[in-house]
Amino acid sequence: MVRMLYLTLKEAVKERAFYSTLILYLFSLFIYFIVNDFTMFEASKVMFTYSLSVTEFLTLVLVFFLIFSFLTEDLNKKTIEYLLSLPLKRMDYILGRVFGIVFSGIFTSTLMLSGFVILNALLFKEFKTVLFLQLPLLWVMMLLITSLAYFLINASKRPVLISFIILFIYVIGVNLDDAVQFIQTKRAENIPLISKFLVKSAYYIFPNFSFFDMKISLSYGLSIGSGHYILVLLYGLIYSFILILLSILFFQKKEIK
Amino acid sequence: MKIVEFKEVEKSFRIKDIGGPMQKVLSGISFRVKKGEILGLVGLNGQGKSTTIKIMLGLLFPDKGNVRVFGSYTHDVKIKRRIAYLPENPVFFENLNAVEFLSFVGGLRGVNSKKIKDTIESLIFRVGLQGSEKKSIRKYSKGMVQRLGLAQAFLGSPEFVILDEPLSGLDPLGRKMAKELIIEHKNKGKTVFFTSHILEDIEDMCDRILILNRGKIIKEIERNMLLNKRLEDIFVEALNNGADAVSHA
Amino acid sequence: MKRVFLGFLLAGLLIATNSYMVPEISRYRKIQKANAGLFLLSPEAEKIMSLDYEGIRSFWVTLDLRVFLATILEQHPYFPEWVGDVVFKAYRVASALNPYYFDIYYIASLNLMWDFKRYSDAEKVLKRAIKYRKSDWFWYFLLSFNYFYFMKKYDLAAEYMTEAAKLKRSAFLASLASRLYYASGRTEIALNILDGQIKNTDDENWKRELLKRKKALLGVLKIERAVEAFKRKEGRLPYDLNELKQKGYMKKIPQDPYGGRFYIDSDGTVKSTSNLVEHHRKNE
Repeated sequence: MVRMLYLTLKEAVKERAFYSTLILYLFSLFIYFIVNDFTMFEASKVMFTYSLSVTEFLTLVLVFFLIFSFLTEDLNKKTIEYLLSLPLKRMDYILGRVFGIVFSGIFTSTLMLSGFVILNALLFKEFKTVLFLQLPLLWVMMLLITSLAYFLINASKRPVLISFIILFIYVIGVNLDDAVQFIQTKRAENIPLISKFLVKSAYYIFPNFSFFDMKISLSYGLSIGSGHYILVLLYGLIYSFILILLSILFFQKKEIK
Repeated sequence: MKIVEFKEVEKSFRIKDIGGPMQKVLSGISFRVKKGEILGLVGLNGQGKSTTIKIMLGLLFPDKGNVRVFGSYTHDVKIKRRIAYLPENPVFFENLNAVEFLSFVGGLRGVNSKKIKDTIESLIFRVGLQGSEKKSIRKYSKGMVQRLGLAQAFLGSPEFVILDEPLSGLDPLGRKMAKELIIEHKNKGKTVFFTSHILEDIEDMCDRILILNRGKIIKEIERNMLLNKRLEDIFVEALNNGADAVSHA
Repeated sequence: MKRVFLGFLLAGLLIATNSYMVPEISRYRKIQKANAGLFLLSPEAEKIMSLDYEGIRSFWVTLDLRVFLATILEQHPYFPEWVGDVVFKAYRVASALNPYYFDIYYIASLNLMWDFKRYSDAEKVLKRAIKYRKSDWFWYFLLSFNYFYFMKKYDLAAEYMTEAAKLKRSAFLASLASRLYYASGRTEIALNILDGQIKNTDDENWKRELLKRKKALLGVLKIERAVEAFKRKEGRLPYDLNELKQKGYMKKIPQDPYGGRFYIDSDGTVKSTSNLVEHHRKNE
């Protein structure tokens, strides 16, 4: 598994998406100063939000691209066939790919956020380490997305389809919490019960990505209960753990055509 | 001693989508691969050669029948460590270069970590990729990828090498090199199984030849049968007989 | 060589056409925007559209609003009435996306108050600001100002000013608060706040100032009590302070430390000719 992980990391580092992300990051450092000029008050807090948002966005884009390119390579160009002929367990393939992608994401996100934190410290004389609390949340989010993708390769061998599905689930997952809060308000009284039921059930089935969003709270220095924080991390970890287990379970019996 | 044993193996695929009709690719094939031989599997395109290999490697599961490799199942990593495989029209990890790729494979096969560098270097030289070993595989031509594929197949001299169309895409020099590699491997007492649809290649090297048609092995040829008859004639004859047999049935 | 020349020619052509078309298009867009307002969805829809990046979207909406307001002022001498709706909507969207964002509350509340005379909307904005930014004295101060100056709700103005004073630990705000209580006829509360602040202040100048105000308010309180007692017994308001002194309700007429003279207004409230403000300040 370690070798598979290492292979994935090595491939990821040489992937073009990796460099595009770093270039986009440098570009975002430029924009940082423009945004800073446009704020009126509490520039530091706006810039903290900006730092976290850009880090999250770029990391997720990178992860999406890595997933897509690995799926294309393995499924369309059939390297999966070759890989599984090597002395590797099928489990190793799934674990190596998932954690390889996640580790490249961990590396990039840490790098990017550190850059921003240092920039913030230089500009506002405020060394805001609390922002790093967003990182584990982001990592768990990446793990969730990647394990979802590798869960789906059991169902489809089309990388484009899988990527669309995870993008779709991401968009749903980000808004589920808001949707549920909305249907509980008075303004949602005339929404038919069946829709409410659907939203409610989706709430319990799909991954709630909005749980991992604490960007504003962290930027504005609001207190986040450590219990709550750990609970959110646990939620993501257990969800991904079960997805990976299921994925390995199905993959054992998968025919590689 | 048997390296591989196929007993009445059947395999069908769905032609289109879920719920569509099934097509039989292998309808009950049985054969053995013996230790120390070069066995060739010949057949027209789309007759089940690749399916046979994939079943052998444990990538596909037979619907009926029994498959044993080294007396066990190929899922086992211990078994897989004794096998090397070269796919048809291979694509390897395009972001890596030849050395990185071969180190990965060698590491998995348990090649001695001290010797691995020299082994890789000599193999690269052997397949004629010297000077390109630090280029990323993405930039390789089709022939170069095939050469690299041969290099990985013989890396760590595994006991049993499975080659799917090993000579396709190679220039005359490359073909000669590949043939030499295969025969050398045999001379070390190792076993080679390969498929091809180019008869001369098979004729040159194989100890035994199986002819696969419409999912059945219709003829098994020993090397000494080729002394006075060309493989091509035997092949065409067998195909005609097979076709007759099918139409009579 | 020919290729290079052609390349430069085409690039030049692109720049030329762009330098004509870009300002033209952007002028049109500007006019359109100035006529139609910002393109904003409902807060719920905006939340969905901005995925997990509400903070950035909120910043963007606020920036858009600022540009929009500037554009309007280029074309009109003052803000047309409908622009107020745009401001309020932008506030609703931006503060729903990021309820902790300072700028949007600031822009929305001040514009709604001064430019559109929509005091109750400004009140809503400020109340939301207070809800999410509990530790900022500024919103309490602005809200108090809104109540006092525009809405004439002195009670509420005094309450919020007290909060502002507490948060900022400012003697100046405290004195303002006490004045507001005085204006709302709650002299005693004003005195209590002042006492608290006098204890908390280290600044000697402010302490002196506060003590002066306390003295004035004590005078006011004394007269108020006398007027009340007079009213209970006589069943009418006294004509002036002298009547109170003559009939024994007060031993001495208190002095206004700000240099004015106390008097009883026709509705019975106690006032001073100085309005309890330093004279030189009042003239400023």
